[in-house]
Amino acid sequence: MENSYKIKNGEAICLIILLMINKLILNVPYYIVELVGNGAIINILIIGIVDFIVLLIIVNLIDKFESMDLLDISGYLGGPILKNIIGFFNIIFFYLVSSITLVDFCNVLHNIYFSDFSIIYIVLFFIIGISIANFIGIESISHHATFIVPLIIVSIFITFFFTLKNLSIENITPIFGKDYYTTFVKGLSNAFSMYIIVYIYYVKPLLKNQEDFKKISIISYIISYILLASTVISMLSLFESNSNNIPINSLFLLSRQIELGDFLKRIDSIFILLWISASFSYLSLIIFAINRTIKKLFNISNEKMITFSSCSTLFGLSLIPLNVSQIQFIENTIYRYIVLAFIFIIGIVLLILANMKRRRLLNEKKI
Amino acid sequence: MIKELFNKMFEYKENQTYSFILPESSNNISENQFNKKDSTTVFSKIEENKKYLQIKYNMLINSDIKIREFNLTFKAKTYPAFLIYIDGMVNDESINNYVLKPLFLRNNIKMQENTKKFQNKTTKKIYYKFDVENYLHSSLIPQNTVLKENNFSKIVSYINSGFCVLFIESIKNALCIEAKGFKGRNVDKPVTESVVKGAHEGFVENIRTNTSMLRKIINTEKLIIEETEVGVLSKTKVAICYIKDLTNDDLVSECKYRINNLKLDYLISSGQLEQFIKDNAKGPFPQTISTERPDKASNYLLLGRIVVLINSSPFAIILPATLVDFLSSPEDFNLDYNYANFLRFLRFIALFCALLTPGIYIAITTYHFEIIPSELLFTIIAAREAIPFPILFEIITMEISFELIQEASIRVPSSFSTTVGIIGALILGDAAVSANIVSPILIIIVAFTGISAFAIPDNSLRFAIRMFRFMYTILGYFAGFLGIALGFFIHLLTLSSQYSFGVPFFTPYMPFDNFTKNESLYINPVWKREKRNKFLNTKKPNIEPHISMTWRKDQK
Repeated sequence: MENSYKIKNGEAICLIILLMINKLILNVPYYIVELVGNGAIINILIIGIVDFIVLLIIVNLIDKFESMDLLDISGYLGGPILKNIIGFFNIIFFYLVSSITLVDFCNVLHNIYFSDFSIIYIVLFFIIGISIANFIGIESISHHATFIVPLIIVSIFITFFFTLKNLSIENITPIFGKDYYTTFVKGLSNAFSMYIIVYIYYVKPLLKNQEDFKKISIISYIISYILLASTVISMLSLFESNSNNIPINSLFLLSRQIELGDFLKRIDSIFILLWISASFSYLSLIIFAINRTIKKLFNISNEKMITFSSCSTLFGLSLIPLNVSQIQFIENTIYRYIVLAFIFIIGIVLLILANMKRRRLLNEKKI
Repeated sequence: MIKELFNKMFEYKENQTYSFILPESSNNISENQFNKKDSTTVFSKIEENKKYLQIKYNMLINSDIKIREFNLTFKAKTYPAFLIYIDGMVNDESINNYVLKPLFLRNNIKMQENTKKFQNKTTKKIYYKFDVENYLHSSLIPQNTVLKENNFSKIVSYINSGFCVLFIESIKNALCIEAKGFKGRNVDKPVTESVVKGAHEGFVENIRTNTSMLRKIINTEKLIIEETEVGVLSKTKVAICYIKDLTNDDLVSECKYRINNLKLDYLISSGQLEQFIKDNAKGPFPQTISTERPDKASNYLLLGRIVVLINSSPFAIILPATLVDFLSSPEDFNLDYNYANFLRFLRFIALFCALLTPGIYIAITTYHFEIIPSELLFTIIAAREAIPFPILFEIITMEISFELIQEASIRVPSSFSTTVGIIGALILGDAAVSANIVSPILIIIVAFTGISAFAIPDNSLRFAIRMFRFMYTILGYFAGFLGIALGFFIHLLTLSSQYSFGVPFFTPYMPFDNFTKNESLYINPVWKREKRNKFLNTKKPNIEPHISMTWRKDQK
């Protein structure tokens, strides 16, 4: 039952949004504001349009291949060699994303609530959770996402509306930011923030209604974009153009600014319950993606068998001692350019070539 | 040896879990087909009447419909006849003494003859035509209500309401004779599911009485009660009840398949059967509803579910079940939808409070104290100052004591239960605080948790919640909200993978689907509950038309 489970439309949208949410909770909005300053509003408008166009191109290109993801398409295009290369690249990418997210989130928890604990202890909690989740299967993970995602969206909007009162004209002017070059050219690299497009490459074979792939991709993109825009605006409310200094580097810490009278002193403590659950789901999903890629590469009959080894690898990678600035460098520079390369170059080039091959074969058949 | 070990570790193990999913489409039958009025009248040939009723009542599978065949002799002519009735709904004594006995023993009619003298002084014997139907109706059957009826739809309705019906060869009317009666111990109030506004009848130990209670509420021949036996030694009668042309056929087949494939020595209760037929055998959360209320069971039957009755058990099993069902009370459908929704919302909150309160308290006081106002924090710290134990020990001790009081008050005779309550309140409450064993605020937490658990209507769900509360307390102590989130995450995952006869436990929320509102926690006003539960894929999806209160429409 588990292996053949197909994700329904609502579940697929929630899973894609879930992938976005985790980066919003952590550092992505901060990196956008850090790069372009007051020009963030214009910048996110531009990257929204650019990414949307790219998404439409990708969706249209993938739509021509029935029940295939990028890995299958690369196999179709270049045989097992290309499939293996892309597969290994995927695995490395997923491990990089998950381990950095895990370390980053655990660092936040460690600094705020559990300063007495060793970070290994916190990481271990996550590893236990995601191992069990992957043993139970994607069906439950996607069910869980449908439950948790609406609640998290509400929490993000609460944070947005409560921080909106701090937003003044000084926060958003000059509207074009530091300079035109930074906002319009250098700022284009912020297109990495809509990194969920990477996962759009892989979602199609998992869908129950594959004919709705386009619809699912566009809806999840729009919702994710709204969430990104609201968190960037929230982040801007604390931005001082004179000092160029952003005191808070994540939505999680931003929510600590909310005051709700005398009884609930810190609403972030309630949000943390949701956000931890979201992180569990997110990491479980990435491990599922890793397992699925390994399964496809090595023809393993049941991907659940490799759950423990995938989780142990993630645990090992998370224990590589990194300080905050190293984590930020990996996220802000390495991760940013890997995502951009993957979305704009590797993925699109592969899809265009595969489409050309498909068209050529079809023409040959006709002749 | 190492090779073997590696092979064993990494060999492919086939997933052997049994899975059943309700198919999404069912053979829907049209509204007209379902509500089609039977205008057939009684046939003159008795065999035709018998066959017609056998088909109508699905007598090959329906166990409680009885036909008694015999011959009646009037004036040297033999008339084949039969009596049909529903076992359990009629009084056997009435049928034996006041129907069958007169028919067999008092039937001594002779040729009615009159001698008439004519004017020419000749005498002639005149033979009057003999009317069997009138003779039976007016002279032979002494029951107070004997009705002549020739329309089968009315006849079936009489049978369903406890009449026995007599059919005789060549007679175009059937005699519907009242013989209502219920056997078994007196029907009493349900003990575990009391309501303020609703019926006060509960199931009893006799299966036939229980089936008749269902028939009394659901007056349709479409109600099928299939009987089977479980247990090699006990041969316990198990009745599978459902409504034909309504309940999903696959669901019925699956239920019959599971019950008929039990290889046991004995079965003595519905609780045992519940465990034998549930999807996830090890899952602590309930997967079927257990009820002792015939009105609740009938309501679910009419919604397209299956009710399983077991002889010698006053509890019926309703399947499939979802979380929303466990948070519903039979009273919800009798109350105004505003009150019902308010109560349902309260129960939903109570579920979370009963599960998480001690864990969240321990997490806040240990790790996340910034969430509460400083004054309250100081009060808690001051109250705990004199307590020598760690907070985990304190809370676990109190929770175990509370569970002990509950268990003891159930086990002791009712005359002692007040004493147990007083001992609990005094010793475990007041005295423990005075002796500085526990803090007063903890007593409030434990009491609040206990009361929240009592607000959950389903006993099995309550047990599961009480059990998992300890897990959350321990997780809260060791890792605060991180631990609780981990527990909650795993809990949600395991429950969302749980099915009850092909229906996910969290339906309609997980997986999120287009749900009709009457299957979610929020219930519509009674006139707007137009659809049956979508997840059941019933053959007749509509309960009522879009406008059910036609009197309003007529007024316009």
